[in-house]
Amino acid sequence: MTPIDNALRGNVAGRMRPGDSFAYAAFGVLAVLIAMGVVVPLLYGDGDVAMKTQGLLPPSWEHPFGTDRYGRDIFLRSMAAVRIDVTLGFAVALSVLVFGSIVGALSATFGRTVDMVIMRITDVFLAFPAVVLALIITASLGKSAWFAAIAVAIAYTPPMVRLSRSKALEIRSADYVAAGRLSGASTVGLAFRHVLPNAVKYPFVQSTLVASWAILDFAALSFLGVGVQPPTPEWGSMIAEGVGDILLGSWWPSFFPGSMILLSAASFQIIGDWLDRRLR
Amino acid sequence: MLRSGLARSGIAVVGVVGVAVLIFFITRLLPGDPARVAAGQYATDAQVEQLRRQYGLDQPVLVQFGRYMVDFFRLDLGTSIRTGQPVTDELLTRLPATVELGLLALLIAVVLGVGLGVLAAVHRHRVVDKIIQLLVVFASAAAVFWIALLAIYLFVNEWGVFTSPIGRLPRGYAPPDPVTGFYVVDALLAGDLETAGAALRTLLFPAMLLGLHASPSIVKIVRSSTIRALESDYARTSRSFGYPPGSILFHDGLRNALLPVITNIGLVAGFVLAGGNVLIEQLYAWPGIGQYAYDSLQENDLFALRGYVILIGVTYILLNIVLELAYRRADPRVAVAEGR
Repeated sequence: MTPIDNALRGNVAGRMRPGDSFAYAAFGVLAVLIAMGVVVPLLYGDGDVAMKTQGLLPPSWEHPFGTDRYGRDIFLRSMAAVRIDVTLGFAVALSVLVFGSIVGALSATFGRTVDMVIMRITDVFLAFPAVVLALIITASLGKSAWFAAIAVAIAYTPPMVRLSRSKALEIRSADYVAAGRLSGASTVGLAFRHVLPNAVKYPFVQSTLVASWAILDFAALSFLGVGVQPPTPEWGSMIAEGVGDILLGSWWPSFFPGSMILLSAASFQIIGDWLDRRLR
Repeated sequence: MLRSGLARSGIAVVGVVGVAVLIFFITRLLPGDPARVAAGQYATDAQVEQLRRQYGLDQPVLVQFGRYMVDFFRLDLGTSIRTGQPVTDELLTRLPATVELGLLALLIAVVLGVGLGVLAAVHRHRVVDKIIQLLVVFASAAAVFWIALLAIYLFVNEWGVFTSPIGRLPRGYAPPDPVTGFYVVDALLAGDLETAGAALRTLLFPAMLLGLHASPSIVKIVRSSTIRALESDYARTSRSFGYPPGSILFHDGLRNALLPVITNIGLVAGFVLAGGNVLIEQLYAWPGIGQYAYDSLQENDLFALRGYVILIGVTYILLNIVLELAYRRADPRVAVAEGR
């Protein structure tokens, strides 16, 4: 696209660009979700008062998302789950970003054997869909939320290493890196001082997408019963608890937690796509 | 060509061995204890100890690793703790169901992905494009098990479009004589149109969901590569010669835009075979390898689960080799660029 095309479409610097409104909406949704996840449980508890109300009440003013079969309020539980699911999204994205981009930059800067070994290892990891890898890691470690979170982070690190490495390779051949090498900088120093800061933009964009995938895969692991264990409120395991009910006609115990996953994962993805266009 | 073929099979062998080694590391060297996991939460120490001896888990890790690799090369993936049967056999008998579902899902994903991708590219930056992009985001941000659950609720319980998801055939139908293992094909071969129709209808429902779930990445790739082709110099030349837009779209746009899709199909196929499959097969009671993995997981049968994961990894590597060859045939520039 030429600058003239951009100007014709109104994409002049400083103005809103196409897609900006989606991105702002996504930021808004995420902010509201996080705020409610913090405030609602403080004010009304996390809905874990079994049998206080009737089971399987459809959505109403009193219970916006209805109640599940144990009479727990699904709205309160869904909001309490924000603390686990969205925090997990951020935590996984951050650890994948930090670890993946550092290893990638080191691999590219060292080159030769180090690079080759690291690349062969990531190759093997890439032969599995992330959720399958996360599944076998969690199953081997034992069923728990912590292990599931660690497993998801491990599964998304190798692709991040690849991305960071390929960007770092481009930067490694830049003149300022050569200048640094000539003046006697160490390889690790070069990796951290010059290569990493310049390459980190792309892994950063990718990490917002990782947050979205992590939320989805973590929910899938909990749905399969290896992640968060009931009665802790978490979207994936809440959907699993509602499976029997939905087939008998009560759609709300599964519907609302799933739409929370959709909202948060979609927000992260829209933000990721937007950053991708903005920073490129 | 011959040399590159040898090099490729070398890479494939390294990859396959790598998969086996990685999975051994994950299942044996991580701090988890497979015997403890297999025995379940309430087992006594003696029971755990007995299991450990029975499956050779009391041997030194190196001995275990050696045995495991030897078995692996003999295509022996061990014995299921849950059923006592060889994992390889169990997986193979269940494979046709998964492949049948996966192939139809892949077809749906490609048709849907290419169709929507081209549509978005033709109407780029306009309303149709925006709507498709939003659909893509929502399709990739929705949990597949959630969509499947809602679809079962709506299509089966409320509207009655599909029969209950209870396996590969509705109640009252006998499975056709096994020839290929694909129920639709086998029923057609046996000349039983009614069973074939019923099998196809049953198959279509989970395949649609899996296909929909896998399509977003294809839409994205087709859209961006079609836009690139349509805004290229050669497309502009065709336009200046006065060719009709349809002809330009097919000859300049599509033919160049579909190349990257070949590479992407590998990823999508791995996804269809494995990623969404455990969840979909479990919800639809589909007797494939995904459901096998789910059952093994519920019963803490790590050996069976390990076999499943290895099968997925190896299939993925072999598939990518095939796709790479297909890519070379489709795009001669690749071979030229590599100097062969």
